Amino acid sequence: MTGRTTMTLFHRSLRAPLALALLLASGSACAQATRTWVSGVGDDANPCSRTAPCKTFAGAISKTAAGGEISVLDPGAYGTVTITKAITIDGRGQFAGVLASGTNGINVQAGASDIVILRNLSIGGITAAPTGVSFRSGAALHLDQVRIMGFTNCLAYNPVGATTNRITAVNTTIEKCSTGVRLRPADFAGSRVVASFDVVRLANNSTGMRVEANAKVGMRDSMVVGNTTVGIVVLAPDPNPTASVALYRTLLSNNAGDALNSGLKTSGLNARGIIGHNTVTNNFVGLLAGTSSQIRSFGDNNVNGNATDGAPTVVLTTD
Amino acid sequence: MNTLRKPVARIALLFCLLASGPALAQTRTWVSGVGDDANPCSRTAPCKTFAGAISKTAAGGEIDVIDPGGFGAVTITKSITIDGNGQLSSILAAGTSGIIVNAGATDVVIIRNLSINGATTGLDGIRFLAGGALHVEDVTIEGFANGINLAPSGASEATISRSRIVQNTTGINLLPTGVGVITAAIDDVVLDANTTGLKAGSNSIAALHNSSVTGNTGNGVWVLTTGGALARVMVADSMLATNNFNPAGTLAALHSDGPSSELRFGGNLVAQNGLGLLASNSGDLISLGNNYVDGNSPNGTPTATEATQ
Repeated sequence: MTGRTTMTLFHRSLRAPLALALLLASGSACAQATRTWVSGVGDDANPCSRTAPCKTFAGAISKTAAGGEISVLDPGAYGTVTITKAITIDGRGQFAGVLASGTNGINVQAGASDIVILRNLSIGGITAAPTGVSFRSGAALHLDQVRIMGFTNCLAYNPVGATTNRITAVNTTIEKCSTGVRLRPADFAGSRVVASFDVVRLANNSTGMRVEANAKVGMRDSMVVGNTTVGIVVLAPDPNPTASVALYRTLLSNNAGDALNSGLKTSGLNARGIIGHNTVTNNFVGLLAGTSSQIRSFGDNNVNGNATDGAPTVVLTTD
Repeated sequence: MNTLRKPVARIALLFCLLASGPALAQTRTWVSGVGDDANPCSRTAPCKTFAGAISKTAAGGEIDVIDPGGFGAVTITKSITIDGNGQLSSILAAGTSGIIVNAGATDVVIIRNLSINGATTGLDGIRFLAGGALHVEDVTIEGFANGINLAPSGASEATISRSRIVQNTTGINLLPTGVGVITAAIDDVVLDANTTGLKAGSNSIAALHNSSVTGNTGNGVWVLTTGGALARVMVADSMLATNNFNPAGTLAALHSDGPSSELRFGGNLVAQNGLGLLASNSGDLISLGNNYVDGNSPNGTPTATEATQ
């Protein structure tokens, strides 16, 4: 009896430290690593380490520290994910897929100073998936070697705050969406976006890129091809602030459409297209500047071989 | 004991001694995410880290990567190639530097196919302090104070190609020390979402070609001197866009700043920035007359124009 009482007391005295130890242990298992790993044969119950990888990006991101990186161990489909902090997701060396059925692929809704980097990913949408990569908040979004296809919008800027945001896409393919890139600052009054594209393919969408007021775009060495309605459309009706696209060494070809659409279309008083050293060919209409809008050319573009070539409204000289 | 007297056993012992000695540094070593630095870094018994492999790699040799992994920060003091081709070959260097090159005056160091991440707190992604030449190819660098810091103490050459340098305070920093001079050729590089894309100080001679300088919140390219030796940079056939979107008048896509600064530019798109062109403090900003400058607010002007030939 005495012995049993002693044992019970002993157990009780251990209980609090034991519980604490267990909490700490589970805490450390849940502690965030700067680098986490996913694998096609991983398990989200794992700590996402190199030797015990997770199964999905969504499972890994909660275990990844802000400013850290999710890496991919082997080929796999890693699921849709919402990003709310600075992070890099890099599928380098593997096929790293995100398949979105009826939902967005990757939502970026991060803090005001957060930079989000997505590399070497293949993001596909089926069954009326709305947006491949939806950039709603965060300082900057950087896409490198990303392929997005099969959404209503492949890449969309649709802000939730009055902020200035940056998007850069490099070596990226955007195809088979209703709208390849849609930049719509008007989703939140007072927001604006600047976007740069370097070796990007906007191919076989209905609209390749749609740029609205308070959005400015630079694009170089890219292809805007085979879009069935319009290659690039810039929309800024008066009195809206400027919407502007500058194209440099880029190919706009095989964009179909009709007499009201074209390879490059500007519409509205504050819509600007700036073109230097591009080739615009084999489109229904090459250049189409709507009333009062401007297509500003440096005079060295190959605009030829379109059903209707169209013409710039302003000729600039180089500096 | 008797067995050791036999010639065969003696030879075997000799081999064992040789194998454990440093004389057998390999020309090619291997690392793996599941390797062990106690291994000889062979293809079948790979090491775990670049730092573990480098001491077993002969000068002029190469470290290669078998499978994906984070292989740790490393200091290089001899000619060597590190090539992560075919894998995610990564260095995570939170709060420190990824690769430090402090090699001999004629040594050539080649860094290929690596992902170097400072997790927003890193110092330098690659720090070049000494060496004959540094070649960087197909590397991504993010999250450092300087993505690549070229700060040699002697006359050194650097090439950087096909690399993406993102989210650093300064993407590429050229700032030789003492009598050092850096000559750098940079091609097909993306400098994005840094504070400053490329910054060059006295004793820097650089060409930036066919590259993108985008989304940097400060200057895109900033040649900064306060007197002293010349800093001369040519920017050609590149896109400088969407930088310094809050035009304060002191930041620009192309900024030549200081009496020893020479920044030339030809064949570039300079568009959609806050201020496009800026010369300050007697810096020279020289156009080759064939740049596409429009859509900035405002565009700014060069200090001089020189003819193409």
